[in-house]
Amino acid sequence: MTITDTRTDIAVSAGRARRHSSLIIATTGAVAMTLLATWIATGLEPWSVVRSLLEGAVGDRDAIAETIVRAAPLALVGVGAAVAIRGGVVNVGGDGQMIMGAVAAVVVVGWIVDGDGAGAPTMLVWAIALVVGALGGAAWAVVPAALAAKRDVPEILSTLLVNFATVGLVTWLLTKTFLQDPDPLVITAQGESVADRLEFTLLLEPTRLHLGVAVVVVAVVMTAWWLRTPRGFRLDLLGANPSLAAQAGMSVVRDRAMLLLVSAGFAGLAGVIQLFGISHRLTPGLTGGVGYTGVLVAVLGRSRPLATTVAALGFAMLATGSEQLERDGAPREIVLVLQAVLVIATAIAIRPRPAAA
Amino acid sequence: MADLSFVESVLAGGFRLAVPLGLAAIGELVSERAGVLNLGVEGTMAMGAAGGVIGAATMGTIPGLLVGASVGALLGALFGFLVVVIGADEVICGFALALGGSGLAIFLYRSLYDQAPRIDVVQAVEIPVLSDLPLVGPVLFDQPLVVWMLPVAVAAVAWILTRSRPGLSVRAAGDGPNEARARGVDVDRSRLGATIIGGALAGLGGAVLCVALVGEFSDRIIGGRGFLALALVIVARWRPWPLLAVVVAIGSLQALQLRVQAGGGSAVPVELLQMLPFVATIVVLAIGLGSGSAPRSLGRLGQERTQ
Repeated sequence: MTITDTRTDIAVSAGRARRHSSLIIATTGAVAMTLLATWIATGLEPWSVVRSLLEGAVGDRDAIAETIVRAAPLALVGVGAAVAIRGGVVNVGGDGQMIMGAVAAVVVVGWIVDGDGAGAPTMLVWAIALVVGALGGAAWAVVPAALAAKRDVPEILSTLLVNFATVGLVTWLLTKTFLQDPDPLVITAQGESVADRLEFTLLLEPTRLHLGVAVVVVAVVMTAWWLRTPRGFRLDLLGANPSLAAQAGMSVVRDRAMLLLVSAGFAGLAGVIQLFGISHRLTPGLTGGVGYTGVLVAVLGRSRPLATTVAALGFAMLATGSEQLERDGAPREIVLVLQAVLVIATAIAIRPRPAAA
Repeated sequence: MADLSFVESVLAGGFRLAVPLGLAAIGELVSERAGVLNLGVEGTMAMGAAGGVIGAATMGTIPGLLVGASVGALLGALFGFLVVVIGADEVICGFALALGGSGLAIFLYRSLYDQAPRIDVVQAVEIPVLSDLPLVGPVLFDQPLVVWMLPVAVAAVAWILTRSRPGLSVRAAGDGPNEARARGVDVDRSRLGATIIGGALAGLGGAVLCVALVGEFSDRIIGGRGFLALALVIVARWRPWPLLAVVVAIGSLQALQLRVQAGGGSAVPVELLQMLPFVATIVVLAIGLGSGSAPRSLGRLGQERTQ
């Protein structure tokens, strides 16, 4: 190792330490501000807010299981968003892609099994549903991908537009087509419940912890591994330096379009996980906004799969804990604010600095 | 042939619905012409809407609109501070503002009110003589006066951007920040000013929607208008007058949907009509009407800093 190497190393670790400390300062400040605002708005003391959040999120075994169940789809969408962000693509269409993944799965599963779920081995049906869901999610990103590739329309906007269009489409599918609940007493938009035997196996009754969580763990670990392969490194090159990537023989436009589809596939997968694990039927609210917050956890996790999963667990804690908080009289939307503030704090901490500093 | 009164009512509704959307879009146009992409319009509109309703319920309509605009300006200033002054990532901060602003608006509103406060919706004012003209009369001259804020705002922005010194600085900041700096333009100040104006107009748009047109705040009231505004700026190629035409067209699609929903018995399901503004925008972008002519520094704040 030469002297310059050592110097660079020291400079790099000094930079890291500074970043870490500024991240801690920014985050602490952000949380303190939000708690103060809650105090002023609702009269709930900061300490009792924190206690309610923690009790609600990890207070006992059931709460922990609930937090994990909620983290699962978030981690999946987040890891998909993270992979895209590393390649320079921002996919915020997760909500629409999730639900269309679930819709695709319901349609195809409807072809291969009858109403009671008989006609094919359950494991096979799940496998098919997961694959179809991923493809359905990806299909829902084809238009934004083409627009980005051919028309220079930023995918961050087109995927959002598709999300809002999907809301109307799904409501229509679940009220006016063969996908609606056949029960004539049901007037809200929802689909028929999936056959009992097709629901993901519960792992820890009475909680909702289900087999789908295992699928998420496998997907996250596989993605983390893949990012360390040469192809994963090429992905980072694509995001960090597109012109160099082009010189290295990569097709930047095509690879980015592909990346958007892959990321949408993760979201579609998450939609199927929610379908068979939690909602057990198609509903317009199947996603619970995870398609949006997934992008935030990817940012918090600095686009690294394992860190993104940790961030997803953190966000899930806030979401689970907020129910306890709402019983105390604070609207649960405070958690959205807290999440946004955390993300902004991260953005401040990781901002690029002039090279001389 | 379609019934003339049907066309009239759709266009009149379209003009009204274009106002919140258009105010937010023209504000975003100012910000983007300065080279700052603010993805947080949705959240800013929601906060303007909540602030506007709170202001209107306590002080009256006009103060309510002013509160909405002020809240928006404040968020615009916060965003400008984060991305222009501190140099935090504009996409991340904008997205966080979109989600956090919507959440905060609902949080504040729910903390304050158990049931919707009473607000007097602004009444239409019939302008004598002009309102008797066929088609344009009912569409343009039998409207609440607040709708005129949109054309006025568009005209003002068009004039400021092309004819005034601050406007020229804003465009210089967006088109060539380094050259502008070399010529003595305070780029950061221009950009900060642009994000504040953009925020104020988005906040005003949200307030107009809830205070003047709908008369109440609800959780999903903005319903993607902020994101639509962002896309329409591209469709209009960052030019004010085409933007006015585009938002009125999209507003008319929204009015058509509401009209059909109220009338019932249409061949096309209402749910699909709901998709129309978004699908139409995507189609227009796909045709390629919006490509090219973006301010050169747009979306590159990060690179500028590390150079």
